[in-house]
Amino acid sequence: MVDMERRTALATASAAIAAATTGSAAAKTSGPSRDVKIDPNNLTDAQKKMLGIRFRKLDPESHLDFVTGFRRVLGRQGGSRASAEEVQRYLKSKGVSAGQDTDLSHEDSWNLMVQNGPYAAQLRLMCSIQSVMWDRASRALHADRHDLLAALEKSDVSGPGKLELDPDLEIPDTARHEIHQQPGGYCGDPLGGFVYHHAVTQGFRAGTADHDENHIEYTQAHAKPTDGMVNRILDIGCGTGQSTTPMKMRFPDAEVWGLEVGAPMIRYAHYRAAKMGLDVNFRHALAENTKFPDNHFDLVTDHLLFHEVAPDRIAMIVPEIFRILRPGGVFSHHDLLTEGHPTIQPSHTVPGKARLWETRRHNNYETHYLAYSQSDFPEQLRKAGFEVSFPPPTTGTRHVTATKPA
Amino acid sequence: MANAKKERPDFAVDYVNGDWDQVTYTDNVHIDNLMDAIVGLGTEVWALKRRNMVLEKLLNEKHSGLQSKIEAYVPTDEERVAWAAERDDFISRIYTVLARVPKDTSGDNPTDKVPFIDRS
Repeated sequence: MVDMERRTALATASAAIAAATTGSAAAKTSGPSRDVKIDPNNLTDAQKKMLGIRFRKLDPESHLDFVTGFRRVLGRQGGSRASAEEVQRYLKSKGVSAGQDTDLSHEDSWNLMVQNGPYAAQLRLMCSIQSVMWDRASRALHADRHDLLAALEKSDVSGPGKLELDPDLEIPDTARHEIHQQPGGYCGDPLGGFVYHHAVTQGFRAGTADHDENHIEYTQAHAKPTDGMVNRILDIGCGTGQSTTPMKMRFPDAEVWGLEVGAPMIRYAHYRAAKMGLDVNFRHALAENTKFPDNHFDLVTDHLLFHEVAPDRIAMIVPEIFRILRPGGVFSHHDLLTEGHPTIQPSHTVPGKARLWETRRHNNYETHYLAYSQSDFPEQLRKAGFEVSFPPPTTGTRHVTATKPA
Repeated sequence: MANAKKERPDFAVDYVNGDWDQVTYTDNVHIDNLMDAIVGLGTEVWALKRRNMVLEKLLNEKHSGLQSKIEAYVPTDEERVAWAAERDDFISRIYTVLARVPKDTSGDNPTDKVPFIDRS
């Protein structure tokens, strides 16, 4: 648990933010909705206090600080230049160009790449540091397991927003993987939400999301209906709610929902939103069966959901989103690359294909990522009835705007 | 079905246990294990160094209630920048060798002169 000093600061900051973001479904309008611009690079001290987190003890904070530095110095950004030259030299010795498309399969590309010692060593390091990140965060938070579970239990029935949990929800096996090597994944660790938020914010995202800056940036970039009317928003696959609460901050008069298959994740999402004093609701359900009425939402969003979802589930989720959007409503999709984008597709080079294969199986453990990257997601949207457009990228990922015809 | 019927419900379910921790990247599992251990060791060393920095800072200020102050200490913006630089230097010093790539060392020894080492 956070200590009293930090808890008091959090409560004070939350009250200030809540006062600035009051409003709910009661404020529905038939015209353009209030749309608040938030600059993630100029957050107020109160906002930073509200959005920041910290371990109770110093050591886990230091462990995760080490992860941040390790990834920065030796990871893909910092340490890849020499490795890239080595990969080029190695592939050239095998008669392969590192920069040209290849007919080799993803698995064969991986098998070729991993024979290169430096490449294998780099992967070893990244996999090891990722394990450290999860392990240290998990150990620290589970040391406070009793208090944290008690806090969740209390929060489950607290407001201002509500939490709808379904203890009988049948979760498909394809959603029970240890995504990103997180122990227990999104469903199997009761403290999964705490672990994810602490580890990813302080380790994986390395200073880009200390106060949800990254999330605020891409949620500010979500498209909205051309009539500007945004009374109801659904953030699908919301995880810890870091992509959901910024939507309430952006559209303070809207009724905002987050939906997530992992109960530990969505309980934490609700816990955090309630602590912020934000009126955001969360539903524990499958994205392919949201149980919302037809034509209900003006805006449906997602952030990095679909590349973690099995193809047969995606085939059901897309029509479900179409069903719950009102005519003229928008699905703003924000994820990694697939085929079918007019200007940029996944890499078809040997290193690119090897990367996709390793991510699926050997590094980061994103079981469905490869299949997603090979799919034509925009075409799936069109087949469901959407009109599809492609706004310019704001971050390393891509938005796709899918509009339900009016 | 979620585990909601315990004395304290946790809503966790059985999960698919990945084998990512069993993957061997090099052609020798002992090398993988060694690298894994070195990474873990660095994490602990860095935690000690960071704790020492906090300790020294607080001791210098001669405050009472040292332990709770250590746990609650929040670095200043300047310290964050300085510590990050210290951390990155520490990591470079110890781990850059792990990313070393093969070099052709056959033939005669090098003869080109390089500037003398000056650590002043």
